Amino acid sequence: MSGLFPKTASWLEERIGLGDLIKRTLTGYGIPARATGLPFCLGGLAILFFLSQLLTGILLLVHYVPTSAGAFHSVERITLEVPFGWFIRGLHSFGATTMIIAVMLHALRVFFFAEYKNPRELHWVTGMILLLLTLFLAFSGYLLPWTQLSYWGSTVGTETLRDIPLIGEQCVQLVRGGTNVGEPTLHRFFALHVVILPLAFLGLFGIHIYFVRRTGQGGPPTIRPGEPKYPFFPNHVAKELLVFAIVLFVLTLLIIFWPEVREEPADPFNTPKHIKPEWYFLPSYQFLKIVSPKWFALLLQGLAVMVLVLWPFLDRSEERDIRKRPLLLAFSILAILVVLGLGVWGHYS
Amino acid sequence: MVDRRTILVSSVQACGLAALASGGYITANYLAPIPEGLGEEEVEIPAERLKPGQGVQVVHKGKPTLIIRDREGELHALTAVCTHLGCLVKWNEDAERIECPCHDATFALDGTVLGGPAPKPLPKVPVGVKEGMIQLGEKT
Ligand code: HEM
Ligand code: FES
Repeated sequence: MSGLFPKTASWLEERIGLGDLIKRTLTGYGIPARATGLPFCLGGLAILFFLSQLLTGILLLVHYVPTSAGAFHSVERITLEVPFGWFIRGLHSFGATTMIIAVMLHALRVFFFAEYKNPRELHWVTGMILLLLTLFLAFSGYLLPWTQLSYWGSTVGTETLRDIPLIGEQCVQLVRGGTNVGEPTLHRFFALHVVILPLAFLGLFGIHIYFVRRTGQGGPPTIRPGEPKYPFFPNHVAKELLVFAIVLFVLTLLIIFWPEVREEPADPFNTPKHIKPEWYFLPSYQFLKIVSPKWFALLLQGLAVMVLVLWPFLDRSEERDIRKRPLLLAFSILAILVVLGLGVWGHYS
Repeated sequence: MVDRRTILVSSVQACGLAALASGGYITANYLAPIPEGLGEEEVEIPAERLKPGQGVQVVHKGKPTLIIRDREGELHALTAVCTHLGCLVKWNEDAERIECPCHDATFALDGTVLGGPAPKPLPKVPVGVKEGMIQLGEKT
């Protein structure tokens, strides 16, 4: 054994056999040599940020008070009084955004490289549900600081459910635990945010990775059987950790130099002006605003989500190279532009 | 002879240790207790409210404190934290002594141990009356 502590390392190795385990399960696992670039680090980046959310989230829990009377003050205390509290909190909220971006880009790579095709349909389905879980995590976390923005953002967000035909009112009340966003809503969202959704995420992530390991990684569409492999560990993992470290460094700069906006505590009797969701919900928000009747807009969005989740079963073509499928290429770029456009429109409207 | 592999593995380990150390430093500071702002509050009890024979518990400089007026009208103040294992002691009006509910330590008005497992007397707190209000902490 080499390294800083060779004696300790070999003592431990004899007893727990970690090196041996790594050799059998990780070093021996190869990924296509052409599947090692930046686009292939995005899944790893997403899970590293999830772990970072787990860590900073647990630290926040030490000082956070999950009641409508205590939440705002406790979060303010974290930012202003607790040593490095501003940093832990900043890392948790910037980390949330980064994680969403990483998961979305990861999905786009899988889409454009057509890695969802036989035998990898279920990789895609589990991945899409992971993306939805990530969005739910962000939505449930947003209410927790109990600020004017988070209170009214959650009010508007949950209000959209009202337009579901027949059971709309029941849905809204179920999510809120009452007619309005209030103490019961905070408790529900807290339970979702810190226990239910993270556990669901971890479980589903395990299944996702089990599928990936079973089939091996696909790589770019032009890949041929027998192409050279590249060790997943330590080589590819090192690359992913490096990307993670760089992004973490950038986030740290943002946290230090991005001036903290003073927030106001939630006031259920006074709606502030310009209530807008976070950027990742803007396209959906704008879509619901411009399409009527509302139930129809919800139906279309539900369908769009279903199409996304079940996409591998809708795209039956055997051709993996999207450059040879100009219609699909044009349509998917158009779809992305429409979503981006709706988001920008929502931002400025 | 140090080979390249050893240098590489060692430097990765060194980076890992550095990351752990800075994360640990941040976490340790984040978790360190923050002093509570209990010290500010002044005891605001009108002197005549405490009748001879009665006792009252207040917070003085963050510490639970017992103020007792004896039968002769003299004021006594003591830290109310039992010197045995830290329970809060109470003034027993009938028995005219201070008692700990946890393991039955008993103390006299001046804090001396009368019985039970307490190893030390209760610390005394200076007490007096200023403009009709009970004052703790300084001699008046
Ligand atoms: C998995 C364990 C997690 C735990 C224990 C946790 C815990 C917490 C706590 C206690 C808060 C309230 C304090 C605050 O607002 O700063 C919070 C806020 C938040 N969380 Fe999490 N969280 C976790 C994961 C995630 C994930 C995976 C995401 C998103 C991808 C996320 C997104 C958010 C957001 C957007 C906020 C609001 C942040 C703010 O306004 O400053 N969290 N979280
Ligand atoms: S703590 Fe008071 S007698 Fe034990």
